[in-house]
Amino acid sequence: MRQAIKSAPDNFSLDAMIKWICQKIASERLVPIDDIDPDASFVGMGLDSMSAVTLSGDLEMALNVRLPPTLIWDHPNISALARYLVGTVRQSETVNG
Amino acid sequence: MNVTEKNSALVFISPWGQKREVVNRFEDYLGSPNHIDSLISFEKSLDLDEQQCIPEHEYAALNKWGLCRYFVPERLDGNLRDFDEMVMLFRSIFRRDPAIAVGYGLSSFMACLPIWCSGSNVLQQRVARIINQGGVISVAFHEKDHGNDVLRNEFTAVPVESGFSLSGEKWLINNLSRAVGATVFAKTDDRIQGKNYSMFFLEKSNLDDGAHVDRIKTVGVRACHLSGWAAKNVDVSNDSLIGELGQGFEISGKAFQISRTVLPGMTVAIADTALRMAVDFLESRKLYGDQAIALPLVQRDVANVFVDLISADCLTLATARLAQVAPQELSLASAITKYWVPTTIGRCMDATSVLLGARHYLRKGKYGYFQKLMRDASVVSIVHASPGVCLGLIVQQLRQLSMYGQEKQAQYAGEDVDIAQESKLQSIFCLSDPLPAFDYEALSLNNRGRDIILQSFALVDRRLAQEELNQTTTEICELNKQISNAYDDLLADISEKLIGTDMRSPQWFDAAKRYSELYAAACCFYTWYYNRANGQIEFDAAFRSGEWLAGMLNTILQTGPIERDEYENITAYVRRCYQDNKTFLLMPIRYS
Repeated sequence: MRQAIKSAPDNFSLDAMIKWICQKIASERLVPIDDIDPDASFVGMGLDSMSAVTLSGDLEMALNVRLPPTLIWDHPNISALARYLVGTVRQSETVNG
Repeated sequence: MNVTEKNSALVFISPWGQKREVVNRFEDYLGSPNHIDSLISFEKSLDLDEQQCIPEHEYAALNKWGLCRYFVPERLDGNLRDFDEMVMLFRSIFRRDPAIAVGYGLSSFMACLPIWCSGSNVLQQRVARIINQGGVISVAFHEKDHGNDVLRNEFTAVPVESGFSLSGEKWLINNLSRAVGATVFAKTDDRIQGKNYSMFFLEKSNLDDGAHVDRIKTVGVRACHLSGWAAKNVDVSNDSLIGELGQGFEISGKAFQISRTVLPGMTVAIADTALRMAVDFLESRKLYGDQAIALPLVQRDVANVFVDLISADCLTLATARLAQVAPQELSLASAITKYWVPTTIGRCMDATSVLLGARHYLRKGKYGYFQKLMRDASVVSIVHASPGVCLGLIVQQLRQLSMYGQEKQAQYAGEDVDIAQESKLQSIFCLSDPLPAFDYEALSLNNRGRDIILQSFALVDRRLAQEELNQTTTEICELNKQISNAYDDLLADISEKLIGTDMRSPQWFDAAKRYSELYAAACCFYTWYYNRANGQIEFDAAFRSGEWLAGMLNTILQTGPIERDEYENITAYVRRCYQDNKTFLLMPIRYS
């Protein structure tokens, strides 16, 4: 179980990031990955304030970058979140060499 | 640090000593609660409770002393510097009358916190002036249909040309009838959850534009005035916005960490008075030819209450100090404090009611005050985040806490040392050490997996184990081993059994409870460890030896009842405090 949280996406392409977040949310909500629509709003999925802060923390640990706890509210669906995360991870890699 | 000249000799007074002097001055001002001529007396407070009257005279006198200035940071001309001082000061009110403490201004303090954390300089100055002059402001946060599910609140603030137009109804607002302003939580955007709420500061004229809902009667704190507020197109200016638009949930989530930390710390004093009343009764009550307090069963019950009380004291002083040393970890510490302390104080109240027997149920006579204390004490748990909400706040951090916790346990399993962590622990727990100024901007919605209390436990425990041990400290080492093992087991359970399961399940909440218990146990241990040889604090020898600590850890870990010699010694100490008219808490304040 620990690996499921710690493991990062296969690569930092947008598609891989979207797939990885979909997998995380599907396993969290105990539903098949096909049931997760990357363009559906987190609100529509029923993510409350508690799961928003938790998901933000999980992403921070898995990607090893510092993320705001309000991340999910700034990027209201998986596609938007993935775009932000890809940019943040790449920027972090550039800074850290 | 303070050095004063006394009899031509320079006398060093530690921060702890300075705080004690402030509390003693305040106690002198308040007078004995047993005398009807004192500012706050049990007799007058019981009458206020029966009549459900607002204690205006008492509030004015507290303002005259300057208590209101302790809601305002020093940088804004107030007296609020250290939260542990504020906690100890307000205990003087709580031990006399919780209704006066709650009604006087704790809602003002809560209302100010979002402004101290995120308000503009102009707004901060304006509100500071109001509070420093004794003005009251309210918090209009909750709604009747949504309780703590605040992201479903329906009160709206719609942007208009000159500012915002407010509509909706707020409920269970303390002090609105006396307020010259209010902090209001309102929905400002329908689209994005979490970013669609904002906070506003409303002036008296704004409040008068809305309708005040009738007073709501309550079981306890009956001298408080609780009501509601209904607004229909009430216009407020742009400068009433606190922080940025859409930041309301984040601002309140951070700011209220402070009040969730200090409020439980203050309420510990309610149980101090409850125990004093019980001991007073047991000293005079004759049973089977002897004083009731001489009975072994009674002594064990008295000792259990004392141990709970002093444990709550340790945790609340620790988290009040942690706020200043490690503010980025206050999200966890505040949730644990607000969950664990009211639960523990509730247990103290139940146990003291048993000790008082039928008298705890009477409304008149020498112990007629106790039933009011019991009713008042129950508000502590439900007001400002219920136990369920606090556990939920812990649950949402458990995954990260388990992972970082396991990494730290592995790191410290060898001979690793972490001087920086230990230095921080020293600052938190050595009660006579000065504290850094509080950084209002350092608060965070979560701990990011960090927990200096439990993640550093192995480091300090190892230092104790390296000492020359006696019988008591050997027992403490054994109990520490149980804390470490229970912590390891809990982290393993979270990562191996809970992650991936429904986070709303009771198992997650049970894990949060267990985490809180271990956190409290660790705080008790550190309080003893860092103060046992502290010459600047007047602790009893039984505290210094570790005897009380063993009782505290056994109780929290539920490893067994307090042994006979321990409860006899503790009861003897409790009786001495009672006879000397001193509080039972770590700071032994003498009643005036």
